[in-house]
Amino acid sequence: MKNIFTLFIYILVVAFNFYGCSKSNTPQQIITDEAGLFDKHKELLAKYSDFNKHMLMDFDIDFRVLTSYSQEEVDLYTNKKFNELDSRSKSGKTILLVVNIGQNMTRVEVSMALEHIYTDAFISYVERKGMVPYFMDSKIVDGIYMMSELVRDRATEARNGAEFVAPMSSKSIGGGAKTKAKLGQTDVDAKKGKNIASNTNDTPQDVLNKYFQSLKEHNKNPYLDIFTSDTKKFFSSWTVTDINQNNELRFTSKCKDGKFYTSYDKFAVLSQPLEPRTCAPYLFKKENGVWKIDIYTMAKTILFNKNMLWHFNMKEKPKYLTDYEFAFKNYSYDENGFPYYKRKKTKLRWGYQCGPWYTPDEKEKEKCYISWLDQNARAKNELGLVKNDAIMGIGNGNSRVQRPTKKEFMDYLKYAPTSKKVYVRVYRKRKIVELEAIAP
Amino acid sequence: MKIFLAIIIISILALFTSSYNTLVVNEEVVANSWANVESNMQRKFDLLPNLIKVVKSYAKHESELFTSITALRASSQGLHKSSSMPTKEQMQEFAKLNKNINISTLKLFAVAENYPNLKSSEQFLTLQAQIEGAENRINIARINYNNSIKVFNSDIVTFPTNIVASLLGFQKVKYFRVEPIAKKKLALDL
Repeated sequence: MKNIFTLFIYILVVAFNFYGCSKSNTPQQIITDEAGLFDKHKELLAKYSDFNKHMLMDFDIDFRVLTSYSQEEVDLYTNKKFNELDSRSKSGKTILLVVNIGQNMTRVEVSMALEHIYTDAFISYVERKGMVPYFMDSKIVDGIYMMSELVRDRATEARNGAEFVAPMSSKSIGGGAKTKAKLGQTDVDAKKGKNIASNTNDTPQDVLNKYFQSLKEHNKNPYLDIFTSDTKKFFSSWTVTDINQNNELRFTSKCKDGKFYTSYDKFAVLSQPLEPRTCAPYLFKKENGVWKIDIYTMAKTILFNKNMLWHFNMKEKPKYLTDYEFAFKNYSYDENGFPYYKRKKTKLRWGYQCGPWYTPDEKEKEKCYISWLDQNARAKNELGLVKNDAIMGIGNGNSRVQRPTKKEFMDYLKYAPTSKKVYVRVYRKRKIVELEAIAP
Repeated sequence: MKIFLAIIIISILALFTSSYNTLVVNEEVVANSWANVESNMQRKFDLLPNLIKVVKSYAKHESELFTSITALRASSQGLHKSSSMPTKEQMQEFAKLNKNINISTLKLFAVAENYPNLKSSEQFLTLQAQIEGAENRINIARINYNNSIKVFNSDIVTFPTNIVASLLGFQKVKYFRVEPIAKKKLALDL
């Protein structure tokens, strides 16, 4: 009887685990790659899975991708596949992007709960202007990723202004849009645009203004005179869309407190205050005596996170940013390359840190042992504390506190009046040692 | 014996009530699905004046086409609009109107092909996306409507609901079928 009960419990646990696993979809389930587009981009599967997780966490939007060769009519096929999805969104906010290689069509299907945010017109616009240009350059996976970023941007915007939508079942009634995928159909006009000349009188600010003008005019000519030679090479193989250009303008229009730094009249940097981190620096280089904008180095060294906060690519920074380091000498970086201003060194009053210790009968009363001492610490040089000293007493005479707690000890040193003597008793190498010093 | 008879009568009553409820609920689903078809059609019809306005600004001489679409849209105002199911005649009228509007819309899009500036204008592309979106919704709503009819009609012919249906006058509903115009080559008799 007992065995049967154990078996029953075991089956229940296995069933729960199985259900749990099936709900936390694997990258393969988030991207159903029937057309095998991601075969050579396995690293993107993990990246996309991470993106999907954040979309779900931040916006409760489940964004799936399906690539296919199906001959079924795209609208109906997408709707059918959409309604078969096991959406993980709690409020029915689901999006399915279908790329049909066989029919050269793409369609984004949107659930009812999202129709007011992702209108047909919006979806059609980002398909045509944001995704298809990548498809035309045969960069299908990049196009899919770009689409997901645009969807995320829209969600961020909507969160700041959209009305609350009551949770509903994840069902589509056909919202979304389809468009010709134009896979590999190179657009001969994609990289056209009148040249923007630069001359020796131009300052970096003039070059930047000309660059913004080119963005405004959707000029995608990679060989503009305002670009460095590396930037020209870079843009000639890079897909630039109207939406990319609009977004760059939109973000930079908010950055108005920049300051130019130059080095030997060869390199210049437009650096913005670090807070908020939405304004990345712009880099300029003199070539043949004329200032040019160095988008190539910017693209190699500056990244943006999901909240559009910029940081350096720490792997590439030492290789590419050396010439521009002069502008960032006041910065320190965290492990992800996010810059922050170097802290000015201030003289510490005592310069020590406490670690906790306690006796078994006084667990709740944490006491202090010296876990760290600054090289020039007064606690070391004047009071005579040594690393690993256990604090056994503070004060002297009638005011002595035996076995003080960590807080009592720290407060005693912290609030000791200047020029008054402080007394500390420590346990060091099986001996009690009395220490004293004048408080700074 | 009396108890046995009572059980039989109660069972028949329960079966009758349950069959009646099934029929009423499924008929309501059909009516609701039809309302979705109608509202999506209206959504499409409401977009047409804007589309005409945009196309007119580039192709003024297509006045005949504009007039015919405006007239078709106007005739849609008088059509059946309620949560109850349409009659067979109303349904036919609806299907015919939808077909004519589809043909005219396609003609309008075909006209736009001759005007590169119009074809690439963001206003036109936005309207095109909205109209295509509405058409897709009509299609999905139509499929859902036909699926609900399938359930309701099978209730009418299967036991025991068929008995209740014939006693209370429930009748089969006609499927809403449309010709796939979009897939045919369009003859432009402008």
